[in-house]
Amino acid sequence: MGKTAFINDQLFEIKDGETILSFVRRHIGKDIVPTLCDAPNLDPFGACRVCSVDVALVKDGPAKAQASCHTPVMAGSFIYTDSERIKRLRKNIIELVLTDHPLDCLTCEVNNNCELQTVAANVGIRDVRYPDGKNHLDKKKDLSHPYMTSDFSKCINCGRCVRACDEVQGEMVLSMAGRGFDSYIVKSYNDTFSESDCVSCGACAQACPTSAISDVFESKSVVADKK
Amino acid sequence: MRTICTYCGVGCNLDVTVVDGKVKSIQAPFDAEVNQGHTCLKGRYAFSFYNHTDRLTTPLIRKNGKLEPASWDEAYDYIADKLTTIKAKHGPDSISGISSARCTNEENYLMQKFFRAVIGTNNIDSCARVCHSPTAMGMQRAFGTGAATNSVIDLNYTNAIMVIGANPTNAHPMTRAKLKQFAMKGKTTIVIDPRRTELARYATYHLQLKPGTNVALLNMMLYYIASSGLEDKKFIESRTEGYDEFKKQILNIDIDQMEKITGVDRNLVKSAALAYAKAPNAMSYHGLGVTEHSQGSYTVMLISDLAMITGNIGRRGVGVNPLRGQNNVQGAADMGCQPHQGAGYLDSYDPEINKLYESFYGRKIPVGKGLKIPEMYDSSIAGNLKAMWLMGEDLVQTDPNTSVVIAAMKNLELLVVQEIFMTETCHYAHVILPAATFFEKSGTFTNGERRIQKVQKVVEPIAGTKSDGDIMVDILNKMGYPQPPFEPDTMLQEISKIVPFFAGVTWENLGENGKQWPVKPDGTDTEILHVDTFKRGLGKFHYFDWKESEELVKNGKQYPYIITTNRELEHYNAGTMTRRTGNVDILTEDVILIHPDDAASHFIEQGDMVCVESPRGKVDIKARITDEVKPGVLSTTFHFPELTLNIITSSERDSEAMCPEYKIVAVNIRKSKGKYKEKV
Repeated sequence: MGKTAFINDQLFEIKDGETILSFVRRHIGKDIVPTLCDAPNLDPFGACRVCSVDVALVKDGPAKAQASCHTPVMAGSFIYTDSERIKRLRKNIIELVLTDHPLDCLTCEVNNNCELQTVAANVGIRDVRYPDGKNHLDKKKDLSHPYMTSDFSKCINCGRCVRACDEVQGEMVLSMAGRGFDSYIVKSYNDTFSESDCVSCGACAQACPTSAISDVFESKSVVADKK
Repeated sequence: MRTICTYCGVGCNLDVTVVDGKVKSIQAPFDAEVNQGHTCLKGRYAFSFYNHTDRLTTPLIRKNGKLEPASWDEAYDYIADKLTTIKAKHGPDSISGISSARCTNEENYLMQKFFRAVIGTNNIDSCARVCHSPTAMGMQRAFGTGAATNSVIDLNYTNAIMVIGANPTNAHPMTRAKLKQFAMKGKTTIVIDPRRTELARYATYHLQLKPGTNVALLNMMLYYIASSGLEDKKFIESRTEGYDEFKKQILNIDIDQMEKITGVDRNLVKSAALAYAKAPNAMSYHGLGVTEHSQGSYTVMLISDLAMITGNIGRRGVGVNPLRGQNNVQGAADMGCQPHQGAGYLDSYDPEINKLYESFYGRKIPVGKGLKIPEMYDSSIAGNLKAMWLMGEDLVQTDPNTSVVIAAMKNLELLVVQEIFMTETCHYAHVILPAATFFEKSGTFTNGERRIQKVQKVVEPIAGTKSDGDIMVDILNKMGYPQPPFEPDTMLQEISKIVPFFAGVTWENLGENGKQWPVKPDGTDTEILHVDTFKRGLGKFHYFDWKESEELVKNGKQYPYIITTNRELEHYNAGTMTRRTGNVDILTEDVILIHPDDAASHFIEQGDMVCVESPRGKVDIKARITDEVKPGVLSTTFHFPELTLNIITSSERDSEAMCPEYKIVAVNIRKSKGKYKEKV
């Protein structure tokens, strides 16, 4: 056996250069750790922190929460995928995301086929404890393009679309503008899809975990997903 | 349901969702080896053509000069009757067929079988003729196999890439996505193109040569490699032949003259050549900018020289890789839709091979010469060719020198067209058979990396149409050849018995990601060709002198500009399909690219109409002023039939494979009022 580490006190072998997330997925299962900003064809990013796990140096020792998607596995470390405080952390992250998300799931085109919805259910969200605050719910839809659509009131700033446009298609039309709460996705020079340099490859729509970017065929709706 | 995109030779896998018997949407599967969860807008979104109201839904027969609806039986009777009469009167060689590189392997196979076994002629060709026939010819002469030596995945293992005469940004978007990522990381990228394409802007070296000087430029590169001692001597010694003679000739070229001819600085050429030679692994990609020239086949052989002189053949991350234009242009040739080679590239001139075909097909098979597409036009105009059968080929809009094509069509006694839409060519047809689209049939396509992939029927053919395979089976039976009903698995079984490199292919073992030929009888496939030895034994070096295109020799003085034709991302070739999708709202018309200096000297402003005149005729195109092209060079597309650009293109052809010279047309320009000005 080469280098090893523990997942929930069970010993497993590490592949060179592997992240904690791929290590856990390979040995324990695909759905053990929830993710939002991670996607199969994109580089690890570490934006949403939903994939956080506890990592300790000794069994049941003092642990540090680390985003598993972009943290390499350390040999001999003890990874705990669902300690109580990690569960609380994940739930709180999603609750905060939902304070700035239109809760119109039942009428949303990706209802029942939405990664945010799935993750929210997995981490046990029943209701959002936070009071209404500042939000982005008044963002307008962009229906200017023959194919591409966007509704950034549903954006969770995971950056998957930006990375798909960059890493997959290499078009770099999408980027993140602003800082902190004011961050938002822009197309070219803050244009609509049809004014922008978008080549309508649809990589962003396929990458987006909600319906913030989609297309006129509603490719991510639950009926469409029945292949 | 998983199927394969029909828009280019990359062969992206598509996940098609069907709701209530209709295509709802398309996504890209992440586990697809070809496209890993990505497609371009043609694959993902441009599908609504398939149930467009313009679809042909009934056979049509020309009666008293008018195309009138008919039943399938009437149409078949009419065709069989006519073909029998023509064959009896003028012989089998008065009939010819052109298959479709958009259709499946099985359909192509059946069509060539029909022509060889039933009609009894080798007059069967495919649109590979007008795109990559010089690649097949050139690479067969150099290596023994006219197909890409490596695979898409090799991009992950290479250190340097040369892209010559190809603009994958528009024509092969998935390959482009990978090439651009490669170039953006600062890895050695050499682009040889008369236009400053997107990839050229990111490339380490852009050799912006004058159109038609590929041979001169590659000779310069080979000269610098041969003269600087960077040859891979071990590889040349053990794997190739003809190098000594080749070296003598290449060291003799006149660099001053070549520099002048190509218009590219010799130091830039030298740096690029040495970068290619020094890279541990270097691979090349080429497109129609190589093949659609009078020296197309020669250029392909020089690209092969470049790979051999640097030892870049037969392992990961190297090789010569044509970017095949149509989804199954590889397959159309593999299946024998070319006059000089039957199914599996077996020589139709060889009497021994002929015996094999005869026992396989159970009929007498003609030996020897058949007509290539350009020869079919000549033969029809001369009155020798009487009947033509086209499987989904729009000759009038896409083949060069439209007036010649139309004259040839008009001279036929019988023109049968299998089509999904009323194309320009259909207007000259005597019988039109409404065919099914790729969503409506099963079979296999072979992509640019020799990957045989499953095309699966996702929806039923719309009422009144039949798949091209069913049509071919019907006509085979109608004319007395017992062919069992079309099923993808049994068809593939039949093909695997005659095409040697399909030996181990079965419908079941193709799985999700297909297999790359040659496939051995046990089912193992081949990612890399020519690993230990070339198909032809030793790789062969060829030397060729550069020769000015006849088009420019004859007309260059009177028509001083060169126009070269290309593609846009949003539309596919004649646009028959993409013009019937939302893509037409994104790109609405063809434009001509013109350098600011040329525009200024003709008082042409952005968006003006330009009259482009060649010795064949003239067309009006809207100007887009850009320094993407050099002065003296123009560039345009031919996606819209309103333009009929091929009125001006010439009948010049590649000297070896007869591929038309679309990339060089001598023209003159002036500002015009424009026939279509009111539209603008």
